Amino acid sequence: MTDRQADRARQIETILQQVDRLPTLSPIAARLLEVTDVDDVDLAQVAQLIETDVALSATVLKLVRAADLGLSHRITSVKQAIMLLGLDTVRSAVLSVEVLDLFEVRSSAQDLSTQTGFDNHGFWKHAVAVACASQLLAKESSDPEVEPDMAFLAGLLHGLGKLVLHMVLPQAYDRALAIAEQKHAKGASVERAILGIDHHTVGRRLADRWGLPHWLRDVIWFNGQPLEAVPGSAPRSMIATVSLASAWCQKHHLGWSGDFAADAPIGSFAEAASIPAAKLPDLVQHLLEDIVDRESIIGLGSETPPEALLQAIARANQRLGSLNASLEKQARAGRRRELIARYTATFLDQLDCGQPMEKTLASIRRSAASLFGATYCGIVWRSSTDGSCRFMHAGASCDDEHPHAVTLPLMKQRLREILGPSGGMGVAASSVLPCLDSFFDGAAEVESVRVFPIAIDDDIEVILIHNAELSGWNERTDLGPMRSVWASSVRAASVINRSRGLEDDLATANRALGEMQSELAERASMARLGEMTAGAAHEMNNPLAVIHGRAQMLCSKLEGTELGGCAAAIAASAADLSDLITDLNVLARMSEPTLALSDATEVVRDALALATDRIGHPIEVEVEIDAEAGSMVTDRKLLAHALEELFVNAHEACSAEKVRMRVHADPDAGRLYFRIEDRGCGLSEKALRHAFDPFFSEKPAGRQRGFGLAKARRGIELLGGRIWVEARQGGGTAACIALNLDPSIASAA
Amino acid sequence: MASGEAKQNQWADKKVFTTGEAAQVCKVSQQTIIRCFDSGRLTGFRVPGSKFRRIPRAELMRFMKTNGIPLDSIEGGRKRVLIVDDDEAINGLLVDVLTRDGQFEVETALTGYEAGLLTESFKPHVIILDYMLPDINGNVVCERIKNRESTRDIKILFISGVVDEQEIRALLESGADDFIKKPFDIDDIASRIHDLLESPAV
Repeated sequence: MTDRQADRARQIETILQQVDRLPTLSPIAARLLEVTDVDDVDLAQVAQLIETDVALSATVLKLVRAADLGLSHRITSVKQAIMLLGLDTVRSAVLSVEVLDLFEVRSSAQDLSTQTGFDNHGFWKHAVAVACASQLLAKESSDPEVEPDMAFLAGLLHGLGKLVLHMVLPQAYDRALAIAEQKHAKGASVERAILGIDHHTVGRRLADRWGLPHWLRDVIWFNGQPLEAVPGSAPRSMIATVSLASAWCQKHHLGWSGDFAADAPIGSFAEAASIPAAKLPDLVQHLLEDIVDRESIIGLGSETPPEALLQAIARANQRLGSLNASLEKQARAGRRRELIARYTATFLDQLDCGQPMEKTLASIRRSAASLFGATYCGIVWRSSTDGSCRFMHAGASCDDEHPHAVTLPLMKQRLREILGPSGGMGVAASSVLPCLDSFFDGAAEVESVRVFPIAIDDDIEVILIHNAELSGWNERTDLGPMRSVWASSVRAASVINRSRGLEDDLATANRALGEMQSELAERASMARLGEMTAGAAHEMNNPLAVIHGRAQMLCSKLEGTELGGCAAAIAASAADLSDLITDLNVLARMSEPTLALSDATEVVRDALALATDRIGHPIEVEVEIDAEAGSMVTDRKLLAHALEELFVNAHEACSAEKVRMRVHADPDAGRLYFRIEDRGCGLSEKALRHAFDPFFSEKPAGRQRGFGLAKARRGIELLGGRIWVEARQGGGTAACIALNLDPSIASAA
Repeated sequence: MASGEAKQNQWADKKVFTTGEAAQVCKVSQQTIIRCFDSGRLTGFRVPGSKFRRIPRAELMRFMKTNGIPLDSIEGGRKRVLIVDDDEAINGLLVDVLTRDGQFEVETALTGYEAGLLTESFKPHVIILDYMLPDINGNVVCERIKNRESTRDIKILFISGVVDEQEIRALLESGADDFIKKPFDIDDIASRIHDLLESPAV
């Protein structure tokens, strides 16, 4: 059983419990029901019972007078009345009075002309009408089972279930009645849909509880239902008679039946009740007179027959009018729905969810302006992430296809808070968002520009502002679907844009990861190279030491001879080879920089001193250091070594002019630049690209350059910077280093 | 000069000195030696059954060091160099370099253990020590030598193919007196040894 079913079952149980709690019949009525069930009735006992209740006695006597005016003045005792009326009539009268008393009908007559829902007074009028009609019809019936007084009682109580529903679930039942009226549906089916139980079942329950006779119970249970659905054991003729009476009274708007279904099958009811259909029209006049009498007997009112008829006709007219109005209303609503559907289709056709938010907003604005017939229409989008606002609008002064788009000042407050819980529908825009006033076209418009919220929730805040008159539209039923479509498109665009943003972030993260991986890989390979070169340095330097040493010894013995020169060359080569191994080892084992505040001038001076040591004589460099680049946080030694390599490189390029160096800072970018320019032979495209690769040289074999620039690059990378060479305009080469002013920021790349 | 050399060699092998011999070694009078012996500033023993004074070599050297008397005469003229490297070709080269004009007396060891033995028997002035030895690392050998009173004065010159600056710093901190990188300049290594020996004893 689903939750819903379980709820339903609980609801029905509650209703039935409430039915059981309704008052029971008085002892008199109960007793009367008892005694009439037996054949040998002691009339004296019945009369005695009735006489114990003054009101009942009066009612019975009134009934006798109504039945036969000629005798009325002479009948003064209840017993006489019973004898005259017959036991069934008396029983019917007593039960009628009892039931009316129980439901306090007389005290709660209400204004019935306009109110929808349960019409208490009308209900009883209808009940009496049906009772009278049933009695009249029963007299015409050829079926002896259909006894007129029993038919009266059955007609009076046939709608008992409706009364019960009204008693126990007044609001829910009113809603069911309203829906039944609107849809012109049978009450029972709507009741089952809304309440879970219908008035037939509820009525039967109460009938059982009150101990009403079975035939009466079955009338309450089955009246108005197709006779095919009625079990054979039930008194079909009686049910048909009451159903016929009820349908007939409903047709003639006698009282308020609480049923709104189209015409009941009067013909088939008449047939089942064994009443010739041809006689029915003649009964109307009798009926109206009868009703008035009966109403006055049970105290329901004192309208005269013509008045009652006029009232019935007036009510029928009113009903017809309201039916017409509702049809017209439905047609109007239909036309609007069609319009909305057309706009929805057009809007969705033109919508591309993958497009940027801005375009979606423009589409909505255009669609709304056209649908509302607004001459001015704008759309406000507030980003819930940072409170920034975009505003796009078009009016008389600008092209609808190309609206103005502006960025509004940051809006700290959420639109939801500004507009309040109602969403600000129809509120004057200038009263809630005065910042927009300056964009409106002319002061006259400011007053007419109103808010139309599109989507206001946690993630999305979009509202329209427009100057159209929307009073003809029902914002909930007519514009609701359109608004949902717009809101959905904004949400879709937002989600797509956000997912794009995430994709970008992911790509960035991937790129960073890739860089980190290659950095790690380089470090790992450097570490391996370090281990290898450390071993190699030991293993190779031993034989190199022997070669070098022996060659030197030979050289000293053979000094001045040709062989002495050979020995010297061997020694020199061994020393070169050893230097190479040392460089390789240094490159591989470069460790993390040690950062400290350093002075640019001193770093450059260190580098020049190192270069001078290498070359063997001072090199001339024109140094220019900008004021804001005067000091920096760096590893002085590492940077000086890198600069040394660049100086040596510039020197070896055989510059035609003095080598120039400039140090400058770009605080906005957070970068510090070193640029060393020579006017030498310049480098080829390939050399520019590979200048920092170990072992790369474009120079002829034998003039290998070792690892100088590779070491420089490694050092600068350890400092989080970048080093490169580029062709200098007008010949020569420029070697550049870019460092972060704040070296704790990882990469300057 | 030849007889002087022979005399010096004679002192170099002597284990126990008479007061006359000690006077010659220290280049002072025999009376001075006897006075120092009797006052306890120079300790030794008397020959059992007679009153002849005898001075053990180690005690005489201690006395000479204490009083700033040059040890040249007792140790012989040439400085002794112990070369410790597991590469025989390096050892051979260094032997040839250091003995080519007879200026040094040279012994070689291939392992740390051998180096220890020779430090005792050969009593080198300088040890040329390779960092990577097959049994113990050079820095351990260095620390042992520098932590013992009797061997503390021996100068240690590291040679290594290793070029890591941190390792070099660690070696110098473990007590080494100098470092030379392989391959080395043969004239440079001889002059470094001379420099080390001329530096004052700690």
